[in-house]
Amino acid sequence: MKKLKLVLLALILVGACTSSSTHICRLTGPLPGEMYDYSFKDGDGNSHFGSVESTVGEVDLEIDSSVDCSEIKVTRELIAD
Amino acid sequence: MKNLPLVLRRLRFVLLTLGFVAATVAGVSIWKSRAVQGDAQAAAKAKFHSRIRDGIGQEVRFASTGDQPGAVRASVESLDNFIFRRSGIRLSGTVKNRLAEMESRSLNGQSHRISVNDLDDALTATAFERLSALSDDEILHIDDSLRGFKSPDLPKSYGRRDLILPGRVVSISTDRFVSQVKAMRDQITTSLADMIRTSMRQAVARIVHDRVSAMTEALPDAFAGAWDPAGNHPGPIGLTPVEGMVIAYSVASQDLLCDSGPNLDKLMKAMQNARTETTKQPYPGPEEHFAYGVNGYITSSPLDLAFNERTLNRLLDQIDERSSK
Repeated sequence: MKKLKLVLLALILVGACTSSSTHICRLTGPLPGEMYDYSFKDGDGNSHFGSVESTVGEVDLEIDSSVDCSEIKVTRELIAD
Repeated sequence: MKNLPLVLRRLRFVLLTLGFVAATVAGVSIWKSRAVQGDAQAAAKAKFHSRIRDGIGQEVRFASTGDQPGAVRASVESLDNFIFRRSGIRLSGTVKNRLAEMESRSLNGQSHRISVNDLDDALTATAFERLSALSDDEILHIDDSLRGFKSPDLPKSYGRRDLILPGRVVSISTDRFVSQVKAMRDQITTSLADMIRTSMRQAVARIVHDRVSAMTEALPDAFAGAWDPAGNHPGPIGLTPVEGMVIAYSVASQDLLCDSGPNLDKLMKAMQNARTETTKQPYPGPEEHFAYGVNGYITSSPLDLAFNERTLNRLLDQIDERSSK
């Protein structure tokens, strides 16, 4: 039976501006085929949640520029056999 | 006080020595850290490829040169079943007949295999056409489908949902996304069309190359020569129409083609348990949901718009055009 474990990861701020109101936070070095959950609160206090399956390279989060990248909680769902 | 310069010189020497030692330690640490990261990446890649073999590798039978029409038809049927089990989308009889006929021609040498770059073009042309014909309701459906799995009993802590695209998450309101897609649709008939097409092709090519590269490494028998891992570019041998359709499905659904049906079910159940544990609230179960496609439990996408009969026939037209001798 497979079991998922959640592991806290860190995001690295890229600082690339996409428009005046958004910026990109980049998750570097995601492992291929693994799923990552993220969550954060925006400037208006709304909670955001989502999950992405990575392949190779990086995962970019284009979010409101009021959100500091270090405030985004990212967890990797480890699949253990 | 007269010995001060000597003390300073010694101190500088000590600091330089310490600095050198620190730099050496830091250098070794970074090297070790990168090596560990490299090992983790290599192990994860091997596991990823093994999961692809367990998924599409086990559940879709790819036909080979010399196979009889019955075997080619069985290959197309296995792909249809694979797509249905994971996303709830069925290929129509017309599309399956046409795909089987094109696959037979490709395998017996009556037509070329499609190159990876030509597949980029075929998918871009199909997506471009589809974009120009989107209704306002369909644009709303795209927005809704890309915001992840939804259920009335989803815990409140899962809050606002962002658009999930391959390798990218975009936090954007529905109003803004819809108005941007409508603007793109309306600009297709203007001088901006070429710019939109070029941007679309870049986005499509990035995902297609990622998928073809993974498939070539995971299933070297079926996808041999489609990708050159050493040069990290398309290889000398193209894709058969069935292989092209596999890549198209993977791109449109964001399904990485991993895990057999039973293992996919176990994975979704494990996701439910993990999220229930994290939020301390019951997370809805995967029963009666598909893993991919519209409101997919793992990844949701508007696959019904991309994989309907009309759009798939246009895609087959594009592939046929580029494979003809």
